[in-house]
Parts: sequence; C-alpha cells; structure tokens
Amino acid sequence: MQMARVVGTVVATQKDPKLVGLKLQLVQPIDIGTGTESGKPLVAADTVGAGSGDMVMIVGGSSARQTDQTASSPVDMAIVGIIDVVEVEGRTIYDRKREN
Amino acid sequence: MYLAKVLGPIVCTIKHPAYDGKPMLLIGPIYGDEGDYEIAVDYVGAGIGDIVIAGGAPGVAQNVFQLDRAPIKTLIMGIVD
Amino acid sequence: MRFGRVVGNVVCTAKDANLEGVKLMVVQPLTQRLEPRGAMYIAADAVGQAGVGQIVTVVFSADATQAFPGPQIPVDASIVGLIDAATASILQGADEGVSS
Repeated sequence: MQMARVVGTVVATQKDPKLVGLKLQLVQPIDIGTGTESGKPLVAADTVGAGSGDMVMIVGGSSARQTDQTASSPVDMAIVGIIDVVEVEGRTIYDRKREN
Repeated sequence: MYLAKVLGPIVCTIKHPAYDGKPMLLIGPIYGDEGDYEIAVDYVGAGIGDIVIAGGAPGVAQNVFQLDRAPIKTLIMGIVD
Repeated sequence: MRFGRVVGNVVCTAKDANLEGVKLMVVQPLTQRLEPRGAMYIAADAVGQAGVGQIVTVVFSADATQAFPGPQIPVDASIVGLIDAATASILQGADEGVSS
C-alpha cells in the first residue's frame, strides 16, 4: 500500500454503472520515507469517507476490489484508510493531530 | 514460467501457516537483470546450483498445495536436466 | 516473495472493516544482499509479530490478499515470514556478518 494525500474530488456523470455511488478522489502519492510528493496524481475510489487534505492509505491493482463497496466495480485504486500517524526509523513522518 | 538458478536456502523463524514444512529457496533468473531475484517455495526437491523451472500465478499455489488460502507467489515446479 | 526490512508503522483509525486488528508496517524493499533499493511501502503484517528492524518476506497484489483468512481484505503487500538471523548474515555477506 502507499501513502497519499487527497487533493480533490472527481465527478463524472457519464460513467460505468458500477461506479455509481462510489466517491472518486484525486490523490497525490507521497513517499512514505520522506513525506514528499512522489509520482503523479491518481484517481482512487474512496471507501472510508476521506476528505480533501486527508493523508490516506491507498491500495492498488486487483486488491482495490477487495472491499464491500468496490467488490464488483471497475477500479484499480482504492482509499482504504485515513492515516493518523506514520513513524519511520523512530521519526514521525506524519501526525494528523499536528495538521489540524 | 522461467528458468532460474538456485542460490541458497532461506529460513524463516516465524512464517505464515501456508509455508509450514515447505522449503524456501532464493533463486535468480537465468535471463534476468542483476538484482532480479525471488524467494520461491520448492516442492520438487531442488538444491543449491540447480537450474530450475520457476513461476506462479494467482491460484496456482492453492491448487498445488490444496490450500484454501496460499499467499505464495513463486513455486519451483521442475529441475532442468 | 521479496525481502524487506521493517522500518516503521502506520496507524489508521478510520479504515476498511476487514483491516481491523491488522498491523500496518512501513517496509524498505531490499536486494538479495539485503541492501535497500526502491521506495518504501506499507505492508500488512500477516504473521502478527513483525517488529522494526526485522528482515521479512513479503508477497504482493493478489497473493497478498491470500495471507489473511476471510473472503476479502484490501491489501496489496503482506508480510508472510520473518527471516532467520543466520540466513540474513549469509545473504549480507562476510562484511555484515562479522559486525552483527
């Protein structure tokens, strides 16, 4: 799984019927070792009610369909957790409390 | 499936129950880049230095070992003559 | 399976129901000589005992979902073994073996 920040919401009216009801978010992947941006923004199905600015955990590939909400949907990326704290090598890379 | 050379044994102190009693071997692909490697489960009795047939796909390990759940990617399914 | 070193952990309060009780670890991918290479990622601990500093084996994508009981779990990387210290010394070669 990867760490990512929710940077926006994606709205599509005309879409695969199996995407109806799924909230789609634009997420910017973050390097979990450094806390810096890594790669290009991606579209992810949100299964946990994340909001703009939240740091989240994303899961990719066929694993993204292993949730109740995405089980039969054509998705390859899902938000499956809202991150509270990340610690790497004894350093706090991210702390949700400090951001709000 | 691909050809690989067996580089050595890998021992885990604690492992997922699906790996119980199954030897794990470090293998390097014959036609791969340096740095390519895989930890594979051996069920045909391969040894260090052997050239083997390795591979795997979702469902293969479950089938081979008759397990409901098998978090195993790569198997050694043959030793090349 | 590939080698990784556990370097940290991630805490998510809001997450997919099937991730409840699953430890989320930050993993540095390693070469076959156990040298760090590539970007860190988050892996679910399927053996329940992976601690920071440990060398582990990791499976990915569809194989990662197989590491947990139950019909579905949205993970794309799972820790399935803790490497024995003697094996780690051999992989690291003589230099590292002497110091450890």
